[in-house]
Amino acid sequence: MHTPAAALAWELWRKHRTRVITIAGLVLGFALVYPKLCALAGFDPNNPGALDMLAKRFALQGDTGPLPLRVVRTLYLLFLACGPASVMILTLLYTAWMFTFTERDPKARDPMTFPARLFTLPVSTPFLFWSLWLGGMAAIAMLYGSWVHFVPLSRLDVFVVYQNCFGWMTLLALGQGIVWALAAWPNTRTVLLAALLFGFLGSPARRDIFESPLLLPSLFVLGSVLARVGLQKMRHSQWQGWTWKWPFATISARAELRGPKRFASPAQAQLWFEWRRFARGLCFTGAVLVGVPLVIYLLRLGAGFGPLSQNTMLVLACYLVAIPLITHFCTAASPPRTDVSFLMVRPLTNGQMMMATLQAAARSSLLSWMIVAAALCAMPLLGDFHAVEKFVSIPSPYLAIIVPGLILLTWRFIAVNLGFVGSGNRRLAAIPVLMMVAVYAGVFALSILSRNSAYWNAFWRLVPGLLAGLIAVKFLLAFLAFRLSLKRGLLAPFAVVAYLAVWTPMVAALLVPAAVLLHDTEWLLPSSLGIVLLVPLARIGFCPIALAWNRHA
Amino acid sequence: MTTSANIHAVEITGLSRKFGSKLALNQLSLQVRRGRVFGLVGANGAGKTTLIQHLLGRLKAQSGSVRVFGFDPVAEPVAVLGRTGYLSEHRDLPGWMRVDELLRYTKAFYPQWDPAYAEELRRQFGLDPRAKIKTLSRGENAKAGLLIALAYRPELLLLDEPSSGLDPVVRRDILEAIIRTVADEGRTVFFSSHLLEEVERVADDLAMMFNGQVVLAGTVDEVKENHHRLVLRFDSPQLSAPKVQGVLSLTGSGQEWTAICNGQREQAVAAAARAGGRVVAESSPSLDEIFVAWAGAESA
Repeated sequence: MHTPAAALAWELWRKHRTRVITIAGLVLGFALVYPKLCALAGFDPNNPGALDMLAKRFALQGDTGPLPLRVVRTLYLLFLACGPASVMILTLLYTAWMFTFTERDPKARDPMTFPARLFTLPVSTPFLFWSLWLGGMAAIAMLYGSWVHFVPLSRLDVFVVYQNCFGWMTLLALGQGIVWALAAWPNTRTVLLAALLFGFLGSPARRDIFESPLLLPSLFVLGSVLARVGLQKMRHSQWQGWTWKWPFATISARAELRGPKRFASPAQAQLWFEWRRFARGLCFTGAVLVGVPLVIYLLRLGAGFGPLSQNTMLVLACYLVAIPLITHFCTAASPPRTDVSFLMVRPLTNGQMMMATLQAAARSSLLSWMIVAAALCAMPLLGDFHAVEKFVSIPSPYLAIIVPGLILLTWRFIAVNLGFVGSGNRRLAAIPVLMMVAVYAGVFALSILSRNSAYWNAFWRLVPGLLAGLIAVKFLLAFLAFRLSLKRGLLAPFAVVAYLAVWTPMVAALLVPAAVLLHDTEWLLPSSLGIVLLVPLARIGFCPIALAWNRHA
Repeated sequence: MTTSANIHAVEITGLSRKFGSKLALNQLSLQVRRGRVFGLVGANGAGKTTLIQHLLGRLKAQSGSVRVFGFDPVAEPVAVLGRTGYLSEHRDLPGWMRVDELLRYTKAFYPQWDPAYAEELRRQFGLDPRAKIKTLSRGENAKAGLLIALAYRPELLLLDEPSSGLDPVVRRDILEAIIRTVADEGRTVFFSSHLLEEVERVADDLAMMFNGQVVLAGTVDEVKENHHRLVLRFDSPQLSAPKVQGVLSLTGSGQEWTAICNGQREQAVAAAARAGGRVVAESSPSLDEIFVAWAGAESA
């Protein structure tokens, strides 16, 4: 490395080499294999009517042959139609992100920090800018060129808009501009990046806008100028974020100063700690995500645009219901905690730490759903809510099981993943995401299975036995885990009794309405067993042990 | 009845710890008497922080035993941590808390928390109660950590590189005064440091660590008394350091060389004479010189 530019290029290579090699492998793999696969299937990716051809093939092959073969055929056709273009999009997105030259800053908990160490090197800001800007443009052009020239990409309408090299270069310029110019405003930066990504991915829906001759060049220039100025300002800390404070932050700070001067017990202090650490933020995020579309639609209504359509109402209702689940899942699957050392030197047992987290999660789940319920109550102001009710058509008595079930599920995300995240092991902390993928795969497999009544009936007969077996394993593991936790003094006997005292009514609260509502259906037994299986017990027992691994490495 | 736990705040016997293939602590044994200020010095990577992490129960002994006030910190963390104040080298306080919240939160865990003392320290350190931890400078962060480690008057104060980030005024006038006060009240202080003058000024006892082992332990006076600094003159200029058995280090050039020896002064003088040198001056070495001599001897 004889020049600063070579050193920067080496750093990029060193940080991303595995993925760069993977990208090169993907291009090569598709270039070599994909045309042969298309020829085998009689699929012509260059045909503009590929979508019609695909639909015909679905119709012709979809309903013949045994189920597994049909599934494979369907997936194969989907792969032929969408595979290379989807992978091209992902690889180009990754390349664009690579040239923003950001990295995770664990101290600031910022996943997109431009490394300040680059500013201590004896290189000018224009040099840094041009190295990354030109390097990025060249990389995008090279990668795009490789895809387009070596792989016969599908001409499906939905992908055509992405087959535009200048569009990708504009994305890179805008990405660099947003990341560098808004380094001091991380939240604004995240929102704008999300908007850019969704806008770009959603571009096929509004091709008329994206094909306008002025839009892309203007955005390209805007992004480049922003990136150049932003890098300069970042280097000299000239843009330092908002200097004003949110009024409600001051009010809440005053209110907290007036709060209890003394916690009644360490457990109460720990509960406050966990509430402040994550649970309050979850409720706040939920409230913002719920409130923003409602306010926008109310303003729209006020401006005389008329009530929302039935479809919009339905989408809005689904969005609102999904918020607590998504926010809690994302928190549960977040990276291992960074404040562990501070906590672990407090005179608390692992059980007390765990109980505080569980209680805080219960509060945030309940509060988040109360916010969603309030928003659902406000929905009739926006349009015809009865149409939504009619479409969803859930009989009111079933709400007695659905509502507590959703609250439990929300809490469960954090409760069952506590051990994985608390273990301090990055690989274990990734398990919640893998489990979610497994759940999706399971649901997908079941939906496929349900299309064939013979397979479905055979599977359905097995379900109760399978669930009963899993419950037996769950109780055995729970017994072993609690015994071990008690033996090691990680958990006080009182805590075990307290949790069991919560677990039992929690299960009963779901079982009783299930028994009442489903008593004369075939769903009664599997649902009851499923409820017992879902309310966490064994993983709660293992949590203090996982915390002990982290605490006493 | 006088038991070892009544005399010693910390007892470590044959402690070993490996991280992968790297041996961080090697059969380390150490005792810290109650009511003393114990300074732990060592080169980077000697194992000081690893040792302190064992005292807190953050690391479990792979072999050997660790006892703090007679308790195993892993088996009985609450019993140990309830009597121990700790200042981390990394100053890992939660950034989202404000200073007053940090005090309120920490107070809940320690019944012996002294609010008046906490407030006095806060004023002394000049910490704004409304300031968020993440907005504090490195030095202020260290002061906040020190404040919550001191305010409940712990029986054992564990300080991992306490001077790191503190300006000379705070280091000399406040930290050292606090450490002395804690010891005068009959409590124990265990601190690691790179600053040997600080250790010399503040500590009653010290231990030097190299490569995961304690090579030297005792009171500061004993350690200094047991080491000698001899200035040797040779008849002819020496191109390289002459071989003198029994000395820890030999530095200099030409005819005059300075030797640091541990204990047996007479043997060192005799060995120097055999090598053709004679003692022209003799003095007591500083801790700094002793440390450098041991570091050289251990790496040789």
